Amino acid sequence: MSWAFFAICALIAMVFEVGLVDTVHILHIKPSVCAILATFIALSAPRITALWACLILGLLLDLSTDLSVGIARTLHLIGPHTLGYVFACYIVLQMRSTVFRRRALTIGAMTLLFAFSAMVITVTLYIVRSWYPEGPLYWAETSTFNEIMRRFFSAIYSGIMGVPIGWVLARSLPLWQFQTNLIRGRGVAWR
Amino acid sequence: MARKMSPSKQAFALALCVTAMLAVLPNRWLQPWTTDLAGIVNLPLTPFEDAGGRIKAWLRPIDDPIAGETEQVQKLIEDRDETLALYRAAQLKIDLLQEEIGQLQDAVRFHRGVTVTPIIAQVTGRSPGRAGGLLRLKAGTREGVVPGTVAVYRGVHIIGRITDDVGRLGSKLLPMTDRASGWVAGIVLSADDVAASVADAPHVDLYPQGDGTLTGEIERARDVHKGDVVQLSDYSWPDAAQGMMIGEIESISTKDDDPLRNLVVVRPHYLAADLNSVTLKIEQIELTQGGGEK
Repeated sequence: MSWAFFAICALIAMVFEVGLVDTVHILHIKPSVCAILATFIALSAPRITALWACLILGLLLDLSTDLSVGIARTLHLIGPHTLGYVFACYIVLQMRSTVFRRRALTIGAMTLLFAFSAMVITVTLYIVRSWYPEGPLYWAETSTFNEIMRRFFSAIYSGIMGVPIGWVLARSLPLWQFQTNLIRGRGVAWR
Repeated sequence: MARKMSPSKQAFALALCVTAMLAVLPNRWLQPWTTDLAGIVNLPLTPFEDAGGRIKAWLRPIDDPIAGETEQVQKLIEDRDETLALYRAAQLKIDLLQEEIGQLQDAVRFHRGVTVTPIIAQVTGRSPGRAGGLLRLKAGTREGVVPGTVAVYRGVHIIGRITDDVGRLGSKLLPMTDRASGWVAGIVLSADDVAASVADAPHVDLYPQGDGTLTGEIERARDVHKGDVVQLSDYSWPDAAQGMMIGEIESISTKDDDPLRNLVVVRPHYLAADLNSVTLKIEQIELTQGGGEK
């Protein structure tokens, strides 16, 4: 894979994730551009490359997520999104041999699965961290249940947005320079 | 014979183990260095976040009730609200000093030797994946921002306070409606009776619910109505914030387990999540020739 092109796409995805995605929010439910990018890489790249890329994307998200601990103290937790993205990538890797990987609809559907899988790990870690005796960790706006539902609908929204964005990413496939074990042809497959 | 893992897989396994370990470390072990690391990682994003914020402001402007008025009318409304807030802040300060030391101070611009410089700070980003949370601002120590600096909108509507994460070029704003912001005390005043005395105004302690509102309890005997305004009267906040608007009472209901008290729900006019810029009130303490505060 071209790590330089990955870096450029990761930068664009992070800019969208932190700022521009607010433009398309519906009742504070926002799609995750990073999840769409990570799903595309999980579907297209060799296994270990996909896992590394998802780990890096998750780490960038963790370092961009500002959490409040007590009054007016901030914390950056390394782990929730990083481990969530790696877990979600693993799930997609298990399923990718059964789907048409270059189709936009596939990318959209797998993005929903990816985002939901990552959410399970992320929320679990946040809940465990909120039990720590050092002080409350404010990771949910209202209640835990409401936050889980909001993230669930965000996963659905990400899946919907994954279709048009996935179409664009599929067209950019040659730029990624994904290495394969087989000669390129009609039936290209990655293990 | 078992296949040996490739170096890449070994490195990934190690990275995963380190991440899992970091995920469970106590906060005090993480806080100093992860903040610095986040600052380094987010530095390349800052110019793009600024451009992204401007694009977002153009694509999705905030729903401002006075935006449809002419510029002159907007300015008049802002001046009126700011004058009212200053007047009530002065009244609060007078009452406090009368109670503590029995003296009167100047009531027009009462900042006890503190002058306030307002600066406009662009909102450049938010935590990804969250509905609310901390906002990133394009203003830092270079502009005089310090932890605890108050952020307002339209001069008098409190948005929140700056957290301890202040860099040279940027800072983080904790919205007042975020649960991490904690309790805030205010006084309830009638929106129609601008000359109402603050001495008799009911006090209320509000707690953010995380859904854009704050709730508190007030004695049922106190005369409060839907639509009354709540202004800050909390000396855990800076002087520059006293008398500023917290919000408007949206609903009043009786507490089931305490019929002598009402539950009030207060909704701010402006929410941090909708804003593209805020005004930071930078306090500058004036020193006397002897070095003490004026």
